[in-house]
Amino acid sequence: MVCGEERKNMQNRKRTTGTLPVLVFPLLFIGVFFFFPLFSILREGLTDESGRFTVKQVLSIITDIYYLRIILFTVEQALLSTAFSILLGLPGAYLLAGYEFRGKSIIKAITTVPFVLPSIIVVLGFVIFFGNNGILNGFLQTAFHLNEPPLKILYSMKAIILAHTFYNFPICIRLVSAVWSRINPNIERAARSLGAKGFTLFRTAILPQIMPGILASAALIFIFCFTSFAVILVLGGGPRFTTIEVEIYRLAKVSVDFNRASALALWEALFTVIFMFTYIKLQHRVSFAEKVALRFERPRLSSLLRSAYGPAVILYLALVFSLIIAPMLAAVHYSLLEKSSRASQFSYTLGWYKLIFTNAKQRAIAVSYGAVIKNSLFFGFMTVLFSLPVGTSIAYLTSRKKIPFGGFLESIAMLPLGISTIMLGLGYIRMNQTFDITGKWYAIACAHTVIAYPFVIRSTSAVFRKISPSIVKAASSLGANRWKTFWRIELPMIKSGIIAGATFAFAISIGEINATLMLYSPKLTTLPIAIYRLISSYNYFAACALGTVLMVICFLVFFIIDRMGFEIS
Amino acid sequence: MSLMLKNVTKQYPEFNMALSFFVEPGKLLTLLGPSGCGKTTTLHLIAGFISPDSGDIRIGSESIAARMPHERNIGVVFQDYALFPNLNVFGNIAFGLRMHGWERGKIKRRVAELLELVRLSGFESRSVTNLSGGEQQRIALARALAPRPRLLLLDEPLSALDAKLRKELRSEIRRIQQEVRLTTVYVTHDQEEALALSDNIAVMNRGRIEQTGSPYDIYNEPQTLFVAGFVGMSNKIHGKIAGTTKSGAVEYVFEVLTPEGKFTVHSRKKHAPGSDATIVFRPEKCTLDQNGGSANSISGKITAFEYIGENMIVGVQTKHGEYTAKLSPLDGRSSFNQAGASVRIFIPREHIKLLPADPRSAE
Repeated sequence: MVCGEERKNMQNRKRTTGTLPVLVFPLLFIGVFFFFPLFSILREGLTDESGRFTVKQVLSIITDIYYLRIILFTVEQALLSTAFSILLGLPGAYLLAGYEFRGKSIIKAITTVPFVLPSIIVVLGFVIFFGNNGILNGFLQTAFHLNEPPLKILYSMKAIILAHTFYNFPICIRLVSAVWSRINPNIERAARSLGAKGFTLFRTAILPQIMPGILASAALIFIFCFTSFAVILVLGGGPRFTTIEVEIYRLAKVSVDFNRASALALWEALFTVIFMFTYIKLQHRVSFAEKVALRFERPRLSSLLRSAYGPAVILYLALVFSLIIAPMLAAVHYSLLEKSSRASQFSYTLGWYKLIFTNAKQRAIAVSYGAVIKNSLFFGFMTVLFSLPVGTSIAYLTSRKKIPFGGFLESIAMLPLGISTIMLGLGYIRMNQTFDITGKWYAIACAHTVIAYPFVIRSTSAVFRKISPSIVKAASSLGANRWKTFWRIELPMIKSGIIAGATFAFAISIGEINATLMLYSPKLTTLPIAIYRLISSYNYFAACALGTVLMVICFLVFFIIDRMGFEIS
Repeated sequence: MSLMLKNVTKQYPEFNMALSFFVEPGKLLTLLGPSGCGKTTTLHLIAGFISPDSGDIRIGSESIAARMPHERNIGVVFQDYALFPNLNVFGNIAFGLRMHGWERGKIKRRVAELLELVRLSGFESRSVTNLSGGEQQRIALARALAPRPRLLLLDEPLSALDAKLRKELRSEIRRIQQEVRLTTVYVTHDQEEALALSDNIAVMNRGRIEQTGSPYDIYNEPQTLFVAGFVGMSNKIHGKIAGTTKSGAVEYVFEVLTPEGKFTVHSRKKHAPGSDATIVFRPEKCTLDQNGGSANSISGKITAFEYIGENMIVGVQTKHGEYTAKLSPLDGRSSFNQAGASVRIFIPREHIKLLPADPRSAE
């Protein structure tokens, strides 16, 4: 008979030896490629030339009226964009949650778009559709015989807010409808039976129940708009329409003033930490609401369409549809055009696509189009290769095994979600003082990996958690040791999570422009950067061709994710 | 093979577990107790998922306390079935056989044999996620039995099913267990299930076994207040031992003074005069009458009356307590349905149990 103490020690030892090697690799990676750059910024912003600690630089930012204006503008445009996104999204959430109709899965799929569509595509579609010589203006000019384009909205606050709203209102639809479809219908019935109707009914019975969803989506949209980069870079412009992110980019790449850039980055970090914290708190309240999944009869949308509200609903649906689909269709359409010899006449051509297959270096971007696509795909695969092991091992450790400080480890590992990608790029540039990494492919690959692995953690730990402890015990009682249990039972069960995580990582890498812009060299140009450069040089047709290629890749990726049926939280 | 637990202990913040029991080969022992009393923990100790602080666990003559769970060859059926969703029915049942290195032909035959045993022949290629609760439970049982374990553990296997299915499946489980002649430990909080299924029952409370015995003994001869209260309904009156009226060779006869009057009670155990004791009797063992003598009876007023088809439940209240009587409908349905009417409860001498007033067993 083995004495109890001996037995306990044997078992405990067996449990912890598995943990250490699994932990070392991901922690090392995060330490070197995330925390070290961050630390460099911290050091840069909080020390003076002789290396002593000082808050002078940080304070000088907040007391300089120029930067104060920038900070205020960032908040202002984010607030307005959030407000409009919520307003535009709420009716959609109501329709999605309250009615049955065919094609509901298509609508649900469309609401995934902001998560996988690169911001540069939004910008591109916007410029094509709403630009002075764009499709909308062209249509209005010919329809109403005007000499001047009637809607001059590019490069203004209107453009920024419109682009942000277009990009983000599907988030509101998705998050709020998820909450709305799970509220208890009996509360509304009880309120009705007690005499409530109309707006009072909505205010007293429904609004309190969906409020956590509204607040959570508002917080998330605010964070996205606050840290928005490509939209501001292209559609803003000029000192009046600069946000913190864009300013940091300019300070780093144009003025080469790393002190100021770091100090400003620290302020942004402070703001985003506060906002992320708020969002996490709100998210918890939403996930409690989700525990009640009630099944009840939903009326068909067709009945609503035939009612007095019908025209309003149709108008809304048309607006939503055109906001999401039209700019992208316009971009695809444009990619097939070229200017013919006659002024303001266009003819159809596949010429821009043919250029992809040549090796001719294009003036605006200094590499061939084919090389650009190759680069993007290369970084995409490298990101998947790196982020899968990092993300999966952390997810395994925090959701399957009981290790000390598991919750702490998870929060630390998820930090990259809350750090702006421009700041990450800045940190890598600072790191360049010690390691020569700017302009090297692994800098970009590692930056993409750091940005992407939290999503791998999210999707894999969701499936890890679904494995109930009794499944592992059952396998064990049937004779499977730890390895066999993992290999034959746990791994197959998390397959879908791993595939979802991999596709997320790939999508994020393909569409990434912020950090990549900070770190690239001409021969490492990626699709988003090429599109940006082409837009800046007014080469819209070519930009649309590359944009279409990028869109096709993104939709393929998003299609795979949707197949996995993955719930994006 | 027999199962023996000897002085197995485990410390928890809520209580300290200390158990010893023995199960004869081929018999079914039920661990019965309220939630949180440690019955599932006991199963996990036997299966090896947790290790005891001290003590020994033996199957047959072999001590298994030092073995890892996958080396013990003990079949386990879990409350949530824990079927592997990535394998179909065949894959699930065959899993243990694969782990033990059986060859393909033998596996196929064994799986078919088991599916027939649980009356689900032909289910080999079905997906486990589309099965009903009852079907999943039977597949889980088949899976546990496939590698011919020496011991079978069932952790509240029926609690996720509705009442009718529960009754059907519990006889199925009993039939299979007897057919295979497998030593089995069954855990449940449902005392009707325990009484119906078991060869023996061990009633557990806060990590300890209060009483072990056959279903008949557990129900009719409870030895502690807890067992009397947990298994079936019981009425209690607290009192003091006044004295011994007669001492026989096997039995004592005591006089117990209670607020409800004097009771003459038989008991095999000796109780010291003046000590506290509790009188316990089952609702179905007493009778009601408007009149009658005062020996071994309680006088009170009717407060409640429920006719539930098979019998009638009458609530009687006295100055000192409330009591329940369960009568067959033939005993005068009309006489006792008047709230406020005076009535006497009579308890035959042989049905009054005397238990020590143990503060630990008190509710």
